[in-house]
Amino acid sequence: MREPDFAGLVESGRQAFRPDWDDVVAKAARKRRFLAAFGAAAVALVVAAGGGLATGSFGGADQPRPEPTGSPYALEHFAQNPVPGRSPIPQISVTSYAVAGDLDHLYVPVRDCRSQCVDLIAATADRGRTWTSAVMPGGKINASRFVVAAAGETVVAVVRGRPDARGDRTADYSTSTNAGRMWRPAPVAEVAELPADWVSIEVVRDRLIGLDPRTGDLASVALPILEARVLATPAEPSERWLFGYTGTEPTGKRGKLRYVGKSLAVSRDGGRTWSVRKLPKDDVFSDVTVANSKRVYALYQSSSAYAQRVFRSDDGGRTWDDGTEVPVEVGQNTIYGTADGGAYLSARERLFHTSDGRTVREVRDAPPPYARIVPVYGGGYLAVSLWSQFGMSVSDDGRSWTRLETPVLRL
Amino acid sequence: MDGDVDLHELYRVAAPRLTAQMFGLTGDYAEAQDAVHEAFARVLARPARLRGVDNPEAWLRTVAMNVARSRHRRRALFDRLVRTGRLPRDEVAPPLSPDHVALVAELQTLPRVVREAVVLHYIADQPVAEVASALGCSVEAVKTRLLRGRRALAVALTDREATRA
Repeated sequence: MREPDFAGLVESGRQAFRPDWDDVVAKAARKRRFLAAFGAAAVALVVAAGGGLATGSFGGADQPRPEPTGSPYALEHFAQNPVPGRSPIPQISVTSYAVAGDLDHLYVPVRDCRSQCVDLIAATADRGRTWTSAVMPGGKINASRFVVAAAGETVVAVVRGRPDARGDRTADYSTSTNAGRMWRPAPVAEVAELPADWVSIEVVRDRLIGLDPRTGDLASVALPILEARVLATPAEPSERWLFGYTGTEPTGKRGKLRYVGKSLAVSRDGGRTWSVRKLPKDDVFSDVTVANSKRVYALYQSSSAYAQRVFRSDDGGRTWDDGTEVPVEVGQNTIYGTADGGAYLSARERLFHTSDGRTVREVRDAPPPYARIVPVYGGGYLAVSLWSQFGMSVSDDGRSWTRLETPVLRL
Repeated sequence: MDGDVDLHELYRVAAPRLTAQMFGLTGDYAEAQDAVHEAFARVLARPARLRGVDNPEAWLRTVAMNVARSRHRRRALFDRLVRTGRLPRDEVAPPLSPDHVALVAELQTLPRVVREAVVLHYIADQPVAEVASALGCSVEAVKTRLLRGRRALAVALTDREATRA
């Protein structure tokens, strides 16, 4: 078998090179004249509007992605799985929720479909003033690719497989410790407990995945509850809160089971031991949130479309009050706790706040309804809205919010 | 990177290397040199583009590759006209040994994604991880492409040698 002589080819190719700097200068002069004629601003506008001429000439498609100077694209459109030809789509779309490494480091999954679609991660290190982009790991575009967690400049992305017979999906993780510029595959090691400063990411196949914020390593611990999900909480970082079920029971249909025993599972030793605490009831459940180590709210539907029922616990979910009906019409049916003991409830086109679970007031200078409000690693909160348009707000205390400018990505 | 002098020096040092790499990619030496010149011209027209870039040569390589790809697509129609005999096309090749001519020709028979991985790794001497980053795919995918490419080239070159003999 004959091996190719690459080294020889490189040397021959180099020796054959005849420098022609004048040709470069002449080409550059033509480009300058063209730019001067049309004006850089006009070019940027044309590109932002999707003009193929500018894209091809000064292009985005011709530029390497890490380059921060290029044509500006505003990240204001959300499209879950944009594919050219299927529906009218913007060239650059946000594909899922943004994730915060802290209040300055934000990461947004983006799909660039100016020519061949590619999944990117947009990143900022200055609270949204400037953005850069890099290619997401895991190959071609995938509707099941998400940015799932971040801590400072450490970011975790996942590509989920198809659900198996049980409904479980595989999850191929990649992590980056330099804000998404370089990625590496991150296998998940099974351990007995997670170190105290590791970040809880998500639950896969009844195991809690944790992230080492320094190295990007991942590990998992076993759980005492089924079908669990992580409850993002502003409580102590070493506390891990999950929502899930304690068991199953047969349904009327042969062979079908349903999950019962809605519960919280709390661990303060990295998942080695867990305290399981039942929610007030199983039926008409909507959502649960942890405000702090003591205050927990559970949201349930009521008999009215114009009210919801909020149960409150002041001992970490061990005991619950009888619940209070609050005049919040049915909306997204989610509740988001804040460390001061309050919580946000989103309704149809309105956002409400409660400080005690018994009274609510509408808030207007806050994130829009249907925003997802999550505590941020290192303190503070990030609100992300994908409702009609992509938008982000940040808050240091969960009360006063700053709406971030629409991110502008240069490609 | 500020002004023509630095860029000129970069051109002197890097352009031969980049052209050799683009030659492996395109199979056409004139096209390869033109793509490299185009990349330098874009920077010369707007020098700010290189501001803050850690590795200007890698940046220029990416631009040149993208230029070559774009031109390849645009040339598809032109090539069809050439094949119909309506337009003549000049083949431009540098003075190379028959072995290197054969290698470049066989590179052009590889699928584009495989060829790009082979050129970046074996000709541009980029680590696998950087190739993966440049091509926007996983390290495993690059390794697979390199294996396929290298195997296909070895078989094709052996066949050529046997035919010549």
